[in-house]
Amino acid sequence: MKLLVLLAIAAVCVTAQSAFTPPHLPDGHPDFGGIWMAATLSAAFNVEEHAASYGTPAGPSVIVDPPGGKLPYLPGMRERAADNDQHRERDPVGQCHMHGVPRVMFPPFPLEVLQDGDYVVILTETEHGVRIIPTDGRPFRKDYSSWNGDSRGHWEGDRFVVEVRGLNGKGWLDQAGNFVGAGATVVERFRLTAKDTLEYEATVENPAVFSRPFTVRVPLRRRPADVELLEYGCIEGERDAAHLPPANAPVKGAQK
Amino acid sequence: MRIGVLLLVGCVMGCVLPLSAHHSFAAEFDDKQPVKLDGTVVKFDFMNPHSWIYLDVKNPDGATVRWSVETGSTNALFRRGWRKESLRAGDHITIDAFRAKDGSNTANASTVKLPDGRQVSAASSRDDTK
Repeated sequence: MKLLVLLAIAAVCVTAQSAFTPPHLPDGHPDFGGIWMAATLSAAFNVEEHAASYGTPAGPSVIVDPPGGKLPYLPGMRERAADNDQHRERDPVGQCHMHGVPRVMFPPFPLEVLQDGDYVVILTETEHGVRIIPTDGRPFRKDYSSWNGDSRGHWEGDRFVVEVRGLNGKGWLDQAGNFVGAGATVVERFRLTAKDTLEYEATVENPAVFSRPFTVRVPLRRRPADVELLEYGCIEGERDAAHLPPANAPVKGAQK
Repeated sequence: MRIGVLLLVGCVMGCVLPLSAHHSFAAEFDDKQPVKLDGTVVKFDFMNPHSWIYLDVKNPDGATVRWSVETGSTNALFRRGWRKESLRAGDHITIDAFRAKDGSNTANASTVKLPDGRQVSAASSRDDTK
């Protein structure tokens, strides 16, 4: 009997969620504007399920595809991630580089979404990141490469879809050393699932590193109205380098 | 009174391993080497990606040793009520921290006991979700 009640409650919850109608702007698109931040820091630590370990609290996987929640590394690549994990001084973010997509969407810092007719802009506090995402159908830049790549967006109903190319292949996915490599492309999907919840999904395709695409899903939570983005100069107080082991030491099996 | 504005959370949830939002704690610090530093503030650099407290600590043998103690980012501290005047040269404080692996007098703070006796977060805990 208890089970039936629980199932009924769950069904009501699912129905309520799917019935949510987001607020819309005059242009007809949902209003994603505001300050957001990952609802959990688990993905920033490790996108896969992880037990508590040295410097890292336990957390669930944010990988919703493939089933099982594991990154579909090609042979040898998981060993490279494990080697990164033992040499976290290599983490580009620790050296004040940009997070890269998709990691930039779930750091332990807030981000702000701004919309106008031809652009969606994502300002990230960390590293003063600026993602200007045109929605006017313009082509990708040619021969472009950067940490956050080149983004082009379009709307599919109430869902905002962003294709990202031109990633430099140097980015990590988390602090645990999971990584993407050269040639990675990402398709991101945003949708409001509740007034204060922006669901973020990213499907990463990177045949040089993974046997198949994988998808992460991280809910972003709206921050209170008094939260504003603050300056984040990453150089001035960065005084760790002198205490770290040599960074970027040669990695066995690393891509050239 | 300058610390009266601090709205800080102490170790009420149980002390947790420090996590720097900027870089992995494990890259630099050793959770097997907790250290309690009781000393006098020399300088407080309130900046990103980490703020730093420079502290003179007197060893049992009478020698004074200067420590460099990392906290969370200025932004994380600011959102918890810290200001650049929250610590001043000459303040007597106690810091619970973890030493750097390289054996230098460098550490990562988890909590700071202020001159008025309150123990407050150094904004480097895993609960840093503000």
